[in-house]
Amino acid sequence: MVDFPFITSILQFFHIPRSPEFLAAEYLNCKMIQNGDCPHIRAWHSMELSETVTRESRTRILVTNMFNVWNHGEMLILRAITSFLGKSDRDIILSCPYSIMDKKLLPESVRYVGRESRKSWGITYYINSVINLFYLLREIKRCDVVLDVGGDTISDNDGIKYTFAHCLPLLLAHLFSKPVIILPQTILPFKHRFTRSLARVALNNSLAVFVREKGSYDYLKSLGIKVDKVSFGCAFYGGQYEGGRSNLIGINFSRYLYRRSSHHIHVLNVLKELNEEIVYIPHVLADEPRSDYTLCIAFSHECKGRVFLSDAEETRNFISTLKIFIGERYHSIISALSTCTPVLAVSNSFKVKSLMKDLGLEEYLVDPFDQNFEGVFKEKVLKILNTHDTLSRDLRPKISYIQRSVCELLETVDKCIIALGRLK
Amino acid sequence: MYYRVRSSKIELWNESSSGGAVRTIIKALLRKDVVGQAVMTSSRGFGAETVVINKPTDPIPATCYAYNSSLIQTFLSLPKDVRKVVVALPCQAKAMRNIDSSTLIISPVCFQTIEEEGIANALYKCGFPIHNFKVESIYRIHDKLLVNTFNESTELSFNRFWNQLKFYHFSNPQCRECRDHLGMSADIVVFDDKHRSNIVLVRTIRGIDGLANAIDDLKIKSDRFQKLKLAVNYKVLRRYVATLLGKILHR
Repeated sequence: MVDFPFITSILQFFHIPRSPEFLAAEYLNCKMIQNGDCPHIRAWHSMELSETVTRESRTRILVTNMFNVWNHGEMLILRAITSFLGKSDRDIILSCPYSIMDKKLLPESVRYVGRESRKSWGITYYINSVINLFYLLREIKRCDVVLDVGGDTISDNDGIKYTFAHCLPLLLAHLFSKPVIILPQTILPFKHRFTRSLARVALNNSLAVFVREKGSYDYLKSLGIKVDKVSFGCAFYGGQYEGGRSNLIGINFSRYLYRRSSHHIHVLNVLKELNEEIVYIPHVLADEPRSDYTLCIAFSHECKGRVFLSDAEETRNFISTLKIFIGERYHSIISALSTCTPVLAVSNSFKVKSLMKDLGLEEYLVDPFDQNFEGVFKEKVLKILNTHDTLSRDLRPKISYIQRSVCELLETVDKCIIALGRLK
Repeated sequence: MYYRVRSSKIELWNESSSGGAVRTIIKALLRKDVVGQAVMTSSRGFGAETVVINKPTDPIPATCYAYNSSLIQTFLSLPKDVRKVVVALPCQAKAMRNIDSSTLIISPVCFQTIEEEGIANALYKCGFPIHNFKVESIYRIHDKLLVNTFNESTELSFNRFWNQLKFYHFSNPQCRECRDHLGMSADIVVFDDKHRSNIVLVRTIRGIDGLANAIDDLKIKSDRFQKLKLAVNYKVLRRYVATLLGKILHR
């Protein structure tokens, strides 16, 4: 059935009752309308009726601020939400004005509402973003609860536009008095006064704010911003260690770090010296400025090695069979950790440092901007290669504890959604 | 997120100051054993005192908006293993949240704190002979103010009494305890909608759970227009506009 979210959102926003005849005449250019025998109008009326019945009985969960569907990390979070919160009486809807989307990649229980964009640049992307804003408005008005799954874009570390884009759906939800739950995120720092105020309004009016690190918790508390609990990210949910490992070394390069540092040359040199078989595992597959995939392909042509390309869950399963994993992306490290695979993290970001510190694995973290990077990296790779069995064994109790805590967090959210369903 | 609610029990609603939401929630939570004790403030003379309620059958006083200095002390003296619900002003809620993070806190919206002399003067100006009687308690029941003395109770007009108190702001503008003046540390904030029901602002998951437990005894008024209006904080908007106008005129 043809839907007109653009116009209906405007009409609903100003509380103008929708007229199916008007909409049909305006947009379907239907000639039969004057005779009163229009199949589109009949279909529209029946859709309105069925929608009303469904809306009253089912709980609608709106997932927002999911930026890139080709990012395995975001897909793991979405899968955790769908497998834990997805029930027969619930609809999980995904809507985000600025997302890069392919509906085919989404789990079956998730319905995407909006236009699909395959890249984050170009005039089509911006036109789609504006149109998606009206889709989002409509979905916010219809939903019962809003779940924010954004990563670390609420802070203005990467730029003010990210904070604005992230806060927009939250502010709209507050305007319509909808409950907002912020799932675990990294929220620091705020360099500008404006972004700080914006985040304060967006977070203080939320029902619950969960952060991933103690550092974020203390920072928000010091700013007088609401924060409820420190919890590990939802991407930890569902990772399983099957047993049995190959002799492969998995490696993930991040496009962000590649632009800023030349550490990858040293990484490849060391691995060549060690004469180990390597597999490149990209974690962001699309959108050229962010894609690890194109980077990994380039490296595989330049040096030897295969590229493993699959969906988020398959990639995690593959990582679980590796001897060790060298990761740059936050969620690639989580994929390895959640399957008890020994990890060497190459990153200087706050979130990766905090994650490794929380797990007591600071010694398996290398700063790519270290003056003596090659030496430190080689030393740590050799150490991890010698102790990978012990490391994997030591990780198991820690990971099972983390997965339990993530389940508790999702249970809390589930209970909240049940309570909200009773208050409808 | 906001709800407009009132008690669905008519006898409770008749005795309430606006919608009877606080009493209904406390009663329901005690009845369902979600909490073991309720700590709240009741009117005493021109001031306030702390009341601890252990059973749902115990009489629950109407919400008192006066500052009660003994509330936190009483709260600390109670056994820690019993789950509690506390009705406290936003500043007290902040202190309690730091002490005990698991307590359900219901907060009435903060007004400017008035000294006992101010309340006595306002009553005198409303025509109540304060020198002839010893005032036991003062309660609001909808548009009436009930002044209880030793052996009788007198009804006054609440609106007249309110005008005598001369509130120009709905909260104390100098107070910086909570940034939005709406009980940031509380789980549920309750205020009067001036239509004999309450506006309930739910701030946490614990608050949602508490309200959902009492939903059988509450009537929710669903009004999407009202929701949209409520979500915009008019007080803040007014203040910004006034500041802007002041700056322009001053230039």
